[in-house]
Amino acid sequence: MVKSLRWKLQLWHAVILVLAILGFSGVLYLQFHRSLLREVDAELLAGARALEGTLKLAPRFVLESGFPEGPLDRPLGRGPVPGRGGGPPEFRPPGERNSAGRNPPDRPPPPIENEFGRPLPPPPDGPGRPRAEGPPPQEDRAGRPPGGPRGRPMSPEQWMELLTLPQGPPLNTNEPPPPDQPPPRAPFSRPVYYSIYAANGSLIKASSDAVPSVSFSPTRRPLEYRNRDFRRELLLAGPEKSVVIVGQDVRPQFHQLQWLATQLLAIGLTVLAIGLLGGWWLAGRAIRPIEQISQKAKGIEASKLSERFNVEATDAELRELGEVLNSMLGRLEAGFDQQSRFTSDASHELRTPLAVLLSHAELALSRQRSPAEYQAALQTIQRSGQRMKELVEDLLVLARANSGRLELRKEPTDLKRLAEEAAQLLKPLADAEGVRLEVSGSHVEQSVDPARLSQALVNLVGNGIKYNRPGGTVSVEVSSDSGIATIRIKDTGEGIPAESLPHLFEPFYRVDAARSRETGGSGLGLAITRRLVNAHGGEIAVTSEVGAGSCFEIRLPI
Amino acid sequence: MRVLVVEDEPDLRRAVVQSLLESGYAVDDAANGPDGLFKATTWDYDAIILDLMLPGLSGFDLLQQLRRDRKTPVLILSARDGVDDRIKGLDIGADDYLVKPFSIRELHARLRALIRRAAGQAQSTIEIGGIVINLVNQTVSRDGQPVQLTAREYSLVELLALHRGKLISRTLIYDHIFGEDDSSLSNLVDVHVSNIRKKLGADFIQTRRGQGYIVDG
Repeated sequence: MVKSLRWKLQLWHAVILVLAILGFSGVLYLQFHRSLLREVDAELLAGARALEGTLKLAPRFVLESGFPEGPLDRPLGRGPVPGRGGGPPEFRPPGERNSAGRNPPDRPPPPIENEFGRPLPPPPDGPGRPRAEGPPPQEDRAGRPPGGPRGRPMSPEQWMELLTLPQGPPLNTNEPPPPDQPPPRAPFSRPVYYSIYAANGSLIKASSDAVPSVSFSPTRRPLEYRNRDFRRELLLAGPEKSVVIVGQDVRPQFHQLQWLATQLLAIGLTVLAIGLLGGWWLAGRAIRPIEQISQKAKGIEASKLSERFNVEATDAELRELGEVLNSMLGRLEAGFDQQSRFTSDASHELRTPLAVLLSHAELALSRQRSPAEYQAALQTIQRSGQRMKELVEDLLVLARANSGRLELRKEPTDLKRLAEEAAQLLKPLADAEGVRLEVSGSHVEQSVDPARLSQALVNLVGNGIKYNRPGGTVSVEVSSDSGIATIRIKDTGEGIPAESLPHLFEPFYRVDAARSRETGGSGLGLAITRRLVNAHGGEIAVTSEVGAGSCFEIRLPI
Repeated sequence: MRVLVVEDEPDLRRAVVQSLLESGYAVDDAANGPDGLFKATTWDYDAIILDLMLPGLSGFDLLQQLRRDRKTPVLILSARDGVDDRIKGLDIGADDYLVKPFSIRELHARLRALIRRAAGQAQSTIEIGGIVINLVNQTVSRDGQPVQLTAREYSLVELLALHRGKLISRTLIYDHIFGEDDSSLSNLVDVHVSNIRKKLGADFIQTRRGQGYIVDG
């Protein structure tokens, strides 16, 4: 798949554009096609109606399958021999038929001139002329009134002559007619051919340029249009089940349509090209702010996390992106700051014991010393090394907990016994400080890592002792309520100022920056305690009142 | 030379104090900020070694309050190694900044340089007549011959030589030669002066009766 947003946009744009152009062109093409067809159909219908009208007036024998012997013993064209009716009529090619059908050598000249405008006999009952668009009846050249029932009855041949259609202008009438002559009246825009079949399938008459009907079958519907090759034909049910076929060569219309299609294709391609270029440009404009943002984002490194995207100048959609990125940068920066502060605090914490260690070593080596002096120096060095080791271990626990790699060996443990053990461990310290230790509450069995949780309790109880007043107490209370085990460690010390409470569990945070130096803490105790409790899925909270004491509460879900 | 060490870590304080004592300095120490500030403003020290993370009063605050009326050279000795901390320390009035862990020899060299510069002496040797005092090695020679002096005697010679041509009162000598823990007797200075005159010649130190002593006056 395409991965570029610009290319995707362009692709969709192209698809939509192509569909729109195709739809528009298609509608235009179909409309034009239909209107052309309607014109042709109207002409064909007019011609067919004219022929039908003549047929209706014609005597019955004209429509009968076989003509009487004599001049009419053969049908025009090469229709089937009477009696063999039913088979499809066969035609010779138009050119051939011209000599054989229209002007047979033995055929007498037509008595009535047969050209366009030739009046048709009036209908038997007088009113209503079947031919809708025919010219008004007029006298023929001989001045005789048109033949009809009231006049001298016409011979079959005369009827045959009447059964014809005027022809339109030839195909190649592209040059304008002479200006002094009015253009000849053209009932048809283009030549129309026709053929008339009797009910039994025999051909009654066909125009010279009639195209043979390949599969003739009497039409059941009064009107039926059909397309053959490049011809449009109308099949009209005439009187006595005769069929009038009128057709027109629609090649010019076809060419017109082809020309239209070519034009539409050209215009469509042009519009598509312009549209695609415009779309490419637009897509480029739309994604330019994204490119700017990504360009800027490339420049932001870990050392420059304080940089922010300027969201004021961007559009609403991208402003959101910018704000999201900014807030992400903010979190990253805070994380990095915390990390670097932690590292610097850790290195700071390590520097002091290291300075003690190195200075005592240097001092001891600076001159010859007594064994007692060397011993004292080595003891100091060992003490510093021990302190560094503890600090490093604390840091390791913290780092493991931070990265979620603190392994817990859980087993069912009585929390009260755990608290009692912690108190037992700290008894010497409490005695030295003059602080009383109390453990109360119920036995709550919980699946915990006893070593880790004990470390947390020792930290909290130890703090309670160290930051207490002489004669004070540290009380540990274990309880269980609605599925949550609670351990409360209360002291009667000086308490913690409210502004320090939110930072209390941060690594290296000290309420009094230097006080804990005397008490020997690294500033990691509470941070580690919280991590240990969190690792058990629990939470730790603190409440404190300056002058009255603090209360740490560990809540562990069962 | 009398030096104040303000450091809250007991082991480190002990090491610094001992090394300075062994080099012949008179040393006072303080374990927290308020105590350090009190001593620094009460006595006239030749130099102060100051930690920054102090209980009660931070080293920065101590330095700021000290600088209101004292020009005592101050060397900050801190675990805070950030450039910002060093700049801040120097800007609020420290004369030098040394990051823990440090070498004791370097600490001493910086201290000597501080004391020398504070006395307006750029070189590390002082020559008065035929007497040459080497401030680095803490040795004195007379006409090219090394002279053995005790630590106290050397301190007195150094003090007078650094302030050559100036009258140094007996009180000042007491303040600079003896630490607060020394149980100094009032005539101890006279004993030291007389011993120095025996080793470096009677004319080296002149006595102004009832005022004090002067070198190269």
